[in-house]
Amino acid sequence: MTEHARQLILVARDERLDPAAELYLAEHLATCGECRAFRLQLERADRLIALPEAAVAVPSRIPVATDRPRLRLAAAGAVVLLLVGLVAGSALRQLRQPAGESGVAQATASPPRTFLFLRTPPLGDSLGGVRLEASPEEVRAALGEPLTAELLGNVQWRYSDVRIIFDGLSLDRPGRVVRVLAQPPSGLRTSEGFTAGGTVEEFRRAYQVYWVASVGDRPLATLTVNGLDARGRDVTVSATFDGTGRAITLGLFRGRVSAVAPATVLPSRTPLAVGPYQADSRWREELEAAVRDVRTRLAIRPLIPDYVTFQVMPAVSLRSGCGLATTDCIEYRFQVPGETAYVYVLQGAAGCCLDAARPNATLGVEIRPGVRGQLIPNQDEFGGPILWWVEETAPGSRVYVALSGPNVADGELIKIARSMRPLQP
Amino acid sequence: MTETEEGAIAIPIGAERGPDWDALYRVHAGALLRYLRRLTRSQEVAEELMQEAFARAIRARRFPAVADEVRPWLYRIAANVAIDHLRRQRRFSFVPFMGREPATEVPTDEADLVRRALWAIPPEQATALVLRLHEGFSPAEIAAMLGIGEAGVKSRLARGRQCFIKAYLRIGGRL
Repeated sequence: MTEHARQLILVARDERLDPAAELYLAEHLATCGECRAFRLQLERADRLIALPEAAVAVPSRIPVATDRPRLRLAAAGAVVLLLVGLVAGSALRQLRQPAGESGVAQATASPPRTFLFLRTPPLGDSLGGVRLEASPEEVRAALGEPLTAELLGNVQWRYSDVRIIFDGLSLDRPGRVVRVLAQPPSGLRTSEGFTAGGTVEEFRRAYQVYWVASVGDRPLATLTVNGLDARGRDVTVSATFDGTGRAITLGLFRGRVSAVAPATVLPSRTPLAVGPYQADSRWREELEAAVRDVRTRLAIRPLIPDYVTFQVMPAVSLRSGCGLATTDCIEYRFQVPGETAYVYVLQGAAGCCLDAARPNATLGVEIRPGVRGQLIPNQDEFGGPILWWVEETAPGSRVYVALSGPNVADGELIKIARSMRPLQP
Repeated sequence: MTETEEGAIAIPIGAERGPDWDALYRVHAGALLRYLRRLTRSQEVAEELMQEAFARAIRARRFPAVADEVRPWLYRIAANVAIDHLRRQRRFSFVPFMGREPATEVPTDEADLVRRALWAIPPEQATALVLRLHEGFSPAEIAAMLGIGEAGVKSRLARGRQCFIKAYLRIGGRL
């Protein structure tokens, strides 16, 4: 087989060759069995790819959340969720949500299994009675006279617990409100019902946001939702949470917030595509029993989580010939029945799998004292966060552990990782 | 965006009322779903991608002015959705898990083998192959859909076929 003939065979699948090439190829094929076989393979491959798909049921209509008319308006520009998670290791531990609440609460609020963007609410354009693009007179009517008025690039009116920022114009030529920033104890509330001082979970529920969090070295976490208001204009809601998970600032902006720090901005799909499911309190007991059943086939002492996002009966399986290891790996898969959402845990002997540093990974994620992992956070082109590390679970048992889940946040993976304990003998 | 009594979504385009998305959905959703099903490993994922494709279409600020352009336009969006998904899945699977698929997903028939082989080759090649061979678009049409040159499409098709054959044989298919 010549490369020239091979290329001609390939080209001929999609276009007619010129007469000279056609003649050359015909003569070549007459004498070259290898080329004839190659052409036959191509023909068969083409036929395979062209095989019609079985009839499939098409959902009857575009899935609109009919119970929330306002939400349909959002389809004009579905919300991009940006989470700039800047959570220090210690703070992250405190940004906890009640076990299972994140998935369950979201699911309860969002019955349709499929899609999402139509359910993403348009963002309101007022905070505590102050509307974006309001005039100074309207602000005065809502909040009274400001304590101070300053020119800091923009004109800012300060009240005891809120700042109103006008659009870059001087006091003698007042502009319109472009930002409202509130701090507790203001209790100012956005149109979606989120209040300064509210919790991470309340923020998630208000904005149907599930994908959350990154890991950084700063003690605060910021949740930011970019979206459109009912008139189709860009609006951003942002809240910064302290180490206890309470919002210490709440902001409403006109426009979109661009990357605060490109490396830590995490665009993602939002919110979680999981319908209601029944959490099963026996999942851990079942998991431990299943692991004990196969324990003798493992060269490692595996870890068992005390917490998972989807508290359902896990599927436990062994994988033989696991990577570079000669021993088996063990896998847990917590999958919501009927959904694509799952959490996946893989464990094998250290060295089995890809545990070298990755250039785009966040290094040094603290799993527990002395144990650090790597995290590839949730980025647009990825399916979700991936967290992995190596840990000694018993003398002579160094375990490679990897967690992932296309529908869970990196903070969730860390939470699961930190809950993992070695199987007791 | 407004909603009719029947729930049809219409987007104002300029001063005009925009497309009847319910009608477009009825006409094109089935074909798009089959196309995406060929590229994905489960019906559920294909449905998600199909809906994501419509989501992107609805969000798009421009709608084809000519009716004949609607179908390739939707396919273009679906192809991009599929490529995004395939890239995401590949990265997701490959990095920590050695690129293997979950053990629970075992091919049960030839169609599954084809899907798995398509899934194993570069997404750009897979989408081009499926658009060409499964959907019947010409290289020129695919080029217009994907926003690349026709030569680029032919290159993807040629490389894609070779990769497909290798992948198909590797996972146990017979040619």
